[in-house]
Amino acid sequence: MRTTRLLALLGVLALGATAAGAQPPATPRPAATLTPEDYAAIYQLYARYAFALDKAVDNGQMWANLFTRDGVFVDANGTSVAGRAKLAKYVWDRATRGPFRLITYLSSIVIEPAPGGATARAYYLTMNVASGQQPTSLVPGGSFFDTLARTPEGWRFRHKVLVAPDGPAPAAPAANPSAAAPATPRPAAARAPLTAQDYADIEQLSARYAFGNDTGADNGYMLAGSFTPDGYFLATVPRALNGHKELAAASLEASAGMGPFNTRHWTWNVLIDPAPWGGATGRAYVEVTIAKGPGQTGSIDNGGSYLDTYAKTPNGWRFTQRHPVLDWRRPVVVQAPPTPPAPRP
Amino acid sequence: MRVRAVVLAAAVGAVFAAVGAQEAVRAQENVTFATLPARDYFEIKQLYARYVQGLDSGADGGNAFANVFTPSGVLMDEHGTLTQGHAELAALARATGKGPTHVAHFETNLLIVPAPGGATGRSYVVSVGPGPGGQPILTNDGQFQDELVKTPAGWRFSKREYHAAPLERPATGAPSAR
Repeated sequence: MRTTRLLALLGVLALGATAAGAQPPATPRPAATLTPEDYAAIYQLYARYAFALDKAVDNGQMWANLFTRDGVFVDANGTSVAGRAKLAKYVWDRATRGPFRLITYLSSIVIEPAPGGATARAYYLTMNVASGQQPTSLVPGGSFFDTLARTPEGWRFRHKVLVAPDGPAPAAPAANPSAAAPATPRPAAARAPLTAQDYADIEQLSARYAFGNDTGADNGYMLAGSFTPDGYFLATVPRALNGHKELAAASLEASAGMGPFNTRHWTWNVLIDPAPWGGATGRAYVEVTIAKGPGQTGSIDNGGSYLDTYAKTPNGWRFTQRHPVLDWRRPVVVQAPPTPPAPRP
Repeated sequence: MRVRAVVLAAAVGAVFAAVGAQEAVRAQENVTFATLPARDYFEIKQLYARYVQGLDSGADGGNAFANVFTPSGVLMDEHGTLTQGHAELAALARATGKGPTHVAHFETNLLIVPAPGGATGRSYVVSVGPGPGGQPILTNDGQFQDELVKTPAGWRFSKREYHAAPLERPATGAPSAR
């Protein structure tokens, strides 16, 4: 009897052990993921960063507000600035040293999910602004190594380091208690007037415009079709263009003879905001290249930004207006008149 | 009588031609651009970024770059030279990559269109390198034309073709960002 009980007890213990062994290990933390909405918001954060920096909008406060309240920026010289008040002063001090120019072009942003947010590296292209008769040219500015946090205000930079080309790789930012905290819940979708799909489609519209403008594809209608039928291109020089017919003709004229691989209009930092009337407004950097070929360095003819309004039509998003705003242009070299010969004595 | 018939036929033909042209224009005006779901679009945008960073850094022995292609993926340069397959692509990145903070290629105007079996892509790319005196200059620019497929591991390039931009005309002096 006693033996039977012992066997039964051993059996129960064995069953229990087997059951415990069969149980999956402690549930692993789900891998951090990013949704399309996160990607859209982070890309918008970078676009806003460029505009806020180059224009020192709101005395630098707009740029500072793209950081968390305890956010840190480390510049290429290793100067570290922390907190929004100091960040705003930092950018304002530098912006006031020269004319405001749009010279921050961000691209190739690799974003990785991380606990509490994300990490990212973004390429930074800038330019030598013309002086005297020197052409304006693109130069690599380096790259940003960033840690981002999802906050109640939206995605923000928690730690941002600018590294010059081929400079030393930055050390990982110091641990921050907020980094280990669970991410702030995403805001309800109902509060987002534009969806991730809207942002994606409008970015695509911007790219379609550039290809259409430079190649004249589809008899100019690749460009013209990116506008509503009554859409405007509000240039003052040579003139404003209204409607598909004028837009298509201008596209054909501008790209005549250049073929399908022409690259003249480079668009960066597409910043999109929902508009109160139901569509959207946008801004984007643009620089227009000229004169490249064997023995020549590439250079920039002019640059600035586009101010856009978009409408969501049954056929998708379209420009209703695109207004190019010239920020700077390559100086025109004017030859001095020949010096008259000195009168003979 | 015969002349009148010919004139009538010509007039009718002209009307049909005009109507046909108008319909063609209307068709172009009302075209709906095919777009990818946002999730695919942003994944592909990440792929383009990884291509550039993998090429410039040569990270992970070139594998970071090679991994943005399918195993049999192919890269064609402006001369038509092909680099194909994971080993060749990784070797290319090992040769060109210069570390984790090197930047040499800047890409923008990504245009992604759904296509049978995946998507096609186009982009502008400019490379910056050392010029006379060591000053960085724009050394090359052009377009990529790409074919992409969605694999179990995510979106990958099956083919990238680089085409150099044509020589451009001198500036006209028109102060427009157009």
